[in-house]
Amino acid sequence: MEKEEKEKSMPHNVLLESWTKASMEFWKSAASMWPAAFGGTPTASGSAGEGGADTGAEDPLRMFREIWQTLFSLVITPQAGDSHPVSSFYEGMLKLSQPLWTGYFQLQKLWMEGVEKGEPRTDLEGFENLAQKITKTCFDMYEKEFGQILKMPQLGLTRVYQERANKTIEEFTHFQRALTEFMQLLLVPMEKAFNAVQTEIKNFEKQGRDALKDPKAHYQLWIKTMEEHYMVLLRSQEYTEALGNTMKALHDFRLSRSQLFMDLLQDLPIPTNRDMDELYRDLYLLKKRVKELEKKVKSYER
Amino acid sequence: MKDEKDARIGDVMAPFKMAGDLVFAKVMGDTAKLYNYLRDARDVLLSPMKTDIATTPYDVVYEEDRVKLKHYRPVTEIRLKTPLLVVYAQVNRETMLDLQPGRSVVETFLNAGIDVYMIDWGYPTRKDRYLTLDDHINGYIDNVVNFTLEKHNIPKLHLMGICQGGTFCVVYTTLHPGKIKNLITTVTPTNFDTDASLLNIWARALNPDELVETYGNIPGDIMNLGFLLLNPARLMIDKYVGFLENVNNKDFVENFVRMEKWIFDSPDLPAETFREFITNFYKKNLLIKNELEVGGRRVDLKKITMPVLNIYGKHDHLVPPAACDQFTSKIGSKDKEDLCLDTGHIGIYVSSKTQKEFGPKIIRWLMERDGNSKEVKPSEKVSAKKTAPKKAKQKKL
Repeated sequence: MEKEEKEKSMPHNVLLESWTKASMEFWKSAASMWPAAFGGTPTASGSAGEGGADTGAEDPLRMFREIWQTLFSLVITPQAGDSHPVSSFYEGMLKLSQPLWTGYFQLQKLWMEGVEKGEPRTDLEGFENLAQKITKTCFDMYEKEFGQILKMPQLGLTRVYQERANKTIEEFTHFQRALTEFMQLLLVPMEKAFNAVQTEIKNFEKQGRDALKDPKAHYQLWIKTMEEHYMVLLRSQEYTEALGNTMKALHDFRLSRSQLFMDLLQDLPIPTNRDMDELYRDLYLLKKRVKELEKKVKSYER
Repeated sequence: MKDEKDARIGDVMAPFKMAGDLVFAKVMGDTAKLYNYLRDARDVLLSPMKTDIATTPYDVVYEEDRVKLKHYRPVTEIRLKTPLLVVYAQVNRETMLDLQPGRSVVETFLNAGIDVYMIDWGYPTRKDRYLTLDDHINGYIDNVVNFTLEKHNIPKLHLMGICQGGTFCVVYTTLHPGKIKNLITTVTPTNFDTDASLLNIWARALNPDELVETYGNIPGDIMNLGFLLLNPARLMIDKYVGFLENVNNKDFVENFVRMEKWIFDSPDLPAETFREFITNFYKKNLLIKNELEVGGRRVDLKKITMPVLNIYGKHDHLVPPAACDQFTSKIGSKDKEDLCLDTGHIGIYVSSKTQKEFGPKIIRWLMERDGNSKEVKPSEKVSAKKTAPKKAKQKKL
């Protein structure tokens, strides 16, 4: 709590500096994990970015990290003469982007926590929870920061149109949130199946490499496990609710968007869906009436 | 701390690395085999392929708005004095009944001397969004039936419905029983109060009003996405892995492409019809309860008194047996038969195994109930003469 208050009271450049340092630390640890994770020789602990072990092609992240460091060292240590237009612009951008930094801090914290745990994800804690937390943080951040701006009362002649435009943006975000949550739910059986195969492979590993001769058997295990988990998920209340939420969000978004487009089209010589639907309805009723009359005439003729 | 973390990550990745190494070793070990596979696959994919569907020759004999009536050209002497009208669902296309020579229900019927008519619902556009169930059943189907009866100068015809088309046929038969001699329903849902299919579960949770407001007509792609989600592991992954495994087999590839053509040829669903179908059938289950009203008239299943053959698939995941097996107990017919085949929703029409049961069973059943029909061996083959469809003979407003 105190830390958060302290962070809020920090000047923006200090905030940025601390974030840069944290980023550097993150990339350092990522760089040292990379070779270990993908089968190479791990670099000396803590040496990344400090010369020595990260020289040559062994550290593919070195160049990226150095560019990153250089860029930020330039940005966070402005030269004398702060009244320079570039500096003013820079200050302005910092103010504008403060909510982004705050949000990014939260995201990075979540990510680091996930990496810190570093446990084999044989349960579902891994992707499911982390991804959901990140999604929630992103969209909560939007709701708290930018979403509020869209809800500001609009004034004047264009008030209605501006409100519709804002509503469309808001509904789009709601739809994206619902869709992301829905897709995350759909990915859960896939991860469960991967975990099942991972466990299976580890068991084979204990028996020796010869036990792993047939990759197709592992594929079959994966697809079968995935199918079973999908069958459970697709019948669950959770899935039906997520599907319902997504469809509702899609409906609200498309309706707002159509309204917005109709506003835009009304000044152009282009008929809108509303115009066409009215016409189609009249046509439908007329044809129905003609057909009924045609039948009556035929019956009189007989 | 850091070393510990590295070790943990290494531990997680080790099995995958080992599996990867083995797969790579296997692939490299079978280089010659892999080369041959790739060469054959290239030859198959780059060669001309026969993937046309619905090639049995027909004439369009009646047209009304987007709806067409196909009349298949007889390939032998007509042995059934009453023609058969087939009504397909509005989901996907009727071409499934004529997927390819040798796997065609239409071809089987023609070879047996049945005069076959089939409704092609066409592709609804936005102007069709106000068309209701009443317009389809008491409008288009009734007009097609009247046309066929007048053309043959007969009072009744045989009616066969496929899936949702079967439900339409059931409703039509209750409202116009005097025009139907025999009724055949295949994979036809009549009871919607079941959780045996995911479709039933999802449809009950859907808000059709919102969907109609969102899209107008319901896009075929949305419907297809829903069908794929019924079993994503098999339909979106395993199916294509199977394709890759057999991509060097030309027959397999041709059959696969034909099926893909049919599956993803999905017309949109007219908005009002969709709204009514979801609300009155899936949500309220009014048909089997005899509480449905279409065009202001109650649909009373007891009015179905003609012979009825009801065929469904034991492994149907779209229209499960529970959705089909109550129907015959609710109708007024005395001559009625349920037949549950050991197959699925599509397999009932296209699988080689079912081809030997499904078509011949219908032919036998119709022959026995047609009156004055000549006995025929269902397996009798007469080669079809392929010509392009002729232009429409009659067109309505």
